[in-house]
Amino acid sequence: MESDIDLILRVKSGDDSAFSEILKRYYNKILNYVYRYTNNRETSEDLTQEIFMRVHRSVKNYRPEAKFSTWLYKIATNLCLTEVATRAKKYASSLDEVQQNVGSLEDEKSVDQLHVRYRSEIKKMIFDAMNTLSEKERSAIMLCKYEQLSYDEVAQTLDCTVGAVKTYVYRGRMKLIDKLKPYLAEVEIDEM
Amino acid sequence: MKCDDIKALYDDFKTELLGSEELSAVNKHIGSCNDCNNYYLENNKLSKLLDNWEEIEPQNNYVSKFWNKIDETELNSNKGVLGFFKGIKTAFVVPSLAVALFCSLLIVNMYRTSTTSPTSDEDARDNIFLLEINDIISVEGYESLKIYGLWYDLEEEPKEG
Ligand SMILES: [Zn+2]
Repeated sequence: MESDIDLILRVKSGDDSAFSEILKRYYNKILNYVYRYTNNRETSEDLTQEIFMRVHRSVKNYRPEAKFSTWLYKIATNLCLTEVATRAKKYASSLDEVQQNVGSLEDEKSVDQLHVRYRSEIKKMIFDAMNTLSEKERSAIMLCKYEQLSYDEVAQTLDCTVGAVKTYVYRGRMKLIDKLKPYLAEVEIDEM
Repeated sequence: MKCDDIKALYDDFKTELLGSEELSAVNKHIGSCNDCNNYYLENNKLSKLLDNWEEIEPQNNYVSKFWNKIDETELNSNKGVLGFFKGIKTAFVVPSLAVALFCSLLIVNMYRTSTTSPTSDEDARDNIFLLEINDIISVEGYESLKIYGLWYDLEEEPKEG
């Protein structure tokens, strides 16, 4: 498989098909990363398109010393945090999205409706709990937990030290445990 | 290791990054320390709970949608540049020409003023008069006129007599 850097070099030389390859490689990841900030599918699609348009516009500024994915997550994080801040009120009432998801899933007869409701409720609770974290704590947890970036990569993405990332993750997790306590009681752990 | 050190190792423990010595130290500690055991347990539960936040699938046409947006943006930016020049043509061409004409007249006039003789006929007459006084004035006259300030060239002291 062609490396990200080789693809970017092709994009820099004006090869659009290489950028389509970048899209296929990262679009889904970035879409879901954005989704965890917005909890809204439509907004996430729009923001993800905007992120890749920015990447396309500024690809000439990308230097291969940084991993492409780290650079991409950096752009995505900045845009998400800006958008979330400006549309905070709108997203705070994102229960509509949960209801909408329940509706669409409930149409599938094979799915246990109670289970779907429970999952939607949990999703909403997680989203609300994440909203109580600071920007850095939230981003650090998202990048570590869902994007599986290393501490070093998260530090590069958030422009901070590895030590600071560990602190953000630790504090963030403690806050989440506190907020989600009623739900944690129901989680069963097989092994330690 | 202290409790804080053990807690700090949670992520490395989860991602199996611990060396065998550290791993056995952690296992030994959480086996005997309730607080740390609870910390590891709650974090494991949180991790499992967060897995419930399932992923969404992108729209099928996201690649073509992206390129359509790029085309639209390029089209709009071209329109912007053309529109800018068009606007200049209709709204600014006459005032711009008027300003340019005024500036050139001003510059030509300034040039002419700077190259023509600064003295008028009256100035020339005054100069001749002063030179004549300088030639005929006595030392006494010069001393008495000094109270009005210098009016001749210092190199050229008035002649005695
Ligand atoms: Zn302990």
